[in-house]
Amino acid sequence: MTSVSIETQLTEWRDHALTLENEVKKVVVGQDKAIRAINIAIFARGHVLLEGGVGVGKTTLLQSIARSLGGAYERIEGTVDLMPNDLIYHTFLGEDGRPKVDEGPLLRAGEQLSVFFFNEINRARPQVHALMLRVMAERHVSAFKKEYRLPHMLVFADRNQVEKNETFEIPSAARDRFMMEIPIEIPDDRALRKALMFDVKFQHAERLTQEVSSGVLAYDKLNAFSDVLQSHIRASDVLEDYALDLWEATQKPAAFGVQLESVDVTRLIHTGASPRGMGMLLKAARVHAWLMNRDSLYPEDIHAVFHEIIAHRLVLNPMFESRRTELSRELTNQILATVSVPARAKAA
Amino acid sequence: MKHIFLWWLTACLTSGLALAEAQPTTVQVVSVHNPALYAGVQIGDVLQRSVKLAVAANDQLVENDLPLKGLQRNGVELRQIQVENQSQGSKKIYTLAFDYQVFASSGKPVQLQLPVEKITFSSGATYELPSWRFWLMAQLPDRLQKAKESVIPQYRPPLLDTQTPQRMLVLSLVLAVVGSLVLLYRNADWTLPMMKGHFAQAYRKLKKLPANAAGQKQAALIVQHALNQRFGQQMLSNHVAEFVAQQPAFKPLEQEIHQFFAQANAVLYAGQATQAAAYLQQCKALTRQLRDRERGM
Repeated sequence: MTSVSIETQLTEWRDHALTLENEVKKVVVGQDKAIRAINIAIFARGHVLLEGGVGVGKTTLLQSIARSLGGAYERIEGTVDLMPNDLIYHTFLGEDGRPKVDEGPLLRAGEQLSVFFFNEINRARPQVHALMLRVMAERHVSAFKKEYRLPHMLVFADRNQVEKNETFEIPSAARDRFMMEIPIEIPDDRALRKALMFDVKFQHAERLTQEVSSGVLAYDKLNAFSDVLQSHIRASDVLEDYALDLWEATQKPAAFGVQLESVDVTRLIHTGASPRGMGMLLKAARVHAWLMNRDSLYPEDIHAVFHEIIAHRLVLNPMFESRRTELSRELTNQILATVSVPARAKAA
Repeated sequence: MKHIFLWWLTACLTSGLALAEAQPTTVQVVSVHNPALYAGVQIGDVLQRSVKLAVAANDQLVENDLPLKGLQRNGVELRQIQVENQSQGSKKIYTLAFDYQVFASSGKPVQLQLPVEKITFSSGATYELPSWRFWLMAQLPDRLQKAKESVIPQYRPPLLDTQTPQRMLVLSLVLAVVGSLVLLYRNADWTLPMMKGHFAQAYRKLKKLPANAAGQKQAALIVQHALNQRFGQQMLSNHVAEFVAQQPAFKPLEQEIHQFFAQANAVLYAGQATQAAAYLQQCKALTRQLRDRERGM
């Protein structure tokens, strides 16, 4: 592949990516940041966990993305009695009255599966989490005496943080499999709120998603392009030092002078970001740099995805676990504000 | 008659003899020496004169008839009198030396005299040393006046008005000091406690950097660090608007700060080579402007 064709690819794919964003923005308002983050996750080939209240538009957003992305879209609802095999197969009585077994939502579309939406994943049992954890990591699953490959699958899950009854906390290992946790919040803009209330088009989610152009991206070519993109974007030694400082700050925030108002940071962190998490951070940052039409990583690129990629990976000491979401986001904010370029050693 | 003649003759002879026997011995003046100067004599001067007399060997000076030492006459006091004698054959030579001291004083020159001295010998012979005149010189002005009349009243010299020049001097000094401090504050490369601003420190560091690729990179990091410090957190290009809103003193430099970030990103992250010397100069110029703003200039 010549450099000219790489440049062309990068440009064409960027146009597609921005088209996808614009298409989704037509039907989902006030969520530009989340749309950009999901777009980045798509090109970084990372799974996404959406977090937010009920009725804020998570499903509509995901359906719009899935439609624009192309490929097959499958969905399952997390419930307390959901078992792992419910994802793999389901049984039913056929027309002939005999029991039959068919592939479940995870296998049904085969390799064409591009988006698997797991609604309210925190209502599912840990056994289900374990299965998803493996599928997300390996992108294949064995069933019916054969191996199903899911090379283009991206998992979009959401969890409702408001309700705690009959829910199971997603273990840190499972959280770490998600590239991003994206908060979906009600927009502050009064005009947007008014539109969401009074514009009837927002009342029909299914009809709304039909407005999004389908197949904007060639989902089955994303893996290859992602590799091209990742190898094209460079990181300077200054930026590497900065990223390294950020990583260390997630492990020992006090050493970098990070402080939180209500918490002793020396006792806050049990485990900082993982190597996989930092790898994902850089992957996502490269995509952001590409979307900004650059071939070099800037600190801005890291900042753009830092919260979404790092906050849910931090393992807090048990006493702070009940305030996980709030504290981890505050901490990532403070890390970005405190850790700076130039790196500590060079600033001295 | 004869008897009368004889009587007369005898009387004459007898009286002749008696006359011959009663006639005193003569005093022969050998020499007289008077003072050499007769004018210009002043009070306190000592004048000497002497006389050398020759008398018969059996004759003697009657010293009791000599004037007493200390005798004052018309402002002249006999200070000393010395008598010597020596025999020369049938004669005796007396040398008398008189020392006089003048105690008179006058507003104008007056003529005085050393007094006549009468010298008497045992034979009855006498000699009068004549007076000797001299001029006493006036030491004081002719008309003496009381000192009080000639005293000029001592007035305090009139003082010049120094208040205005003093005020001007103090004002000038204050202005000079203030001006010096302002110049120092603006231009000093070294540091005082109130000159430890982030951009001041950055400017000092920038001045030491070499004009090469490494120096260029270091310059970008130094300015970035100073901006971070001033902003209070990591500052990126998308923070510039917030920065100038938070610290309006830097508002006039908003465009330059944006430009810095564009160039710094190219240097630090994109590895784009630029003219190192020119870039360093730009960094210095910007940092100096930022430093001035930081100092409230």
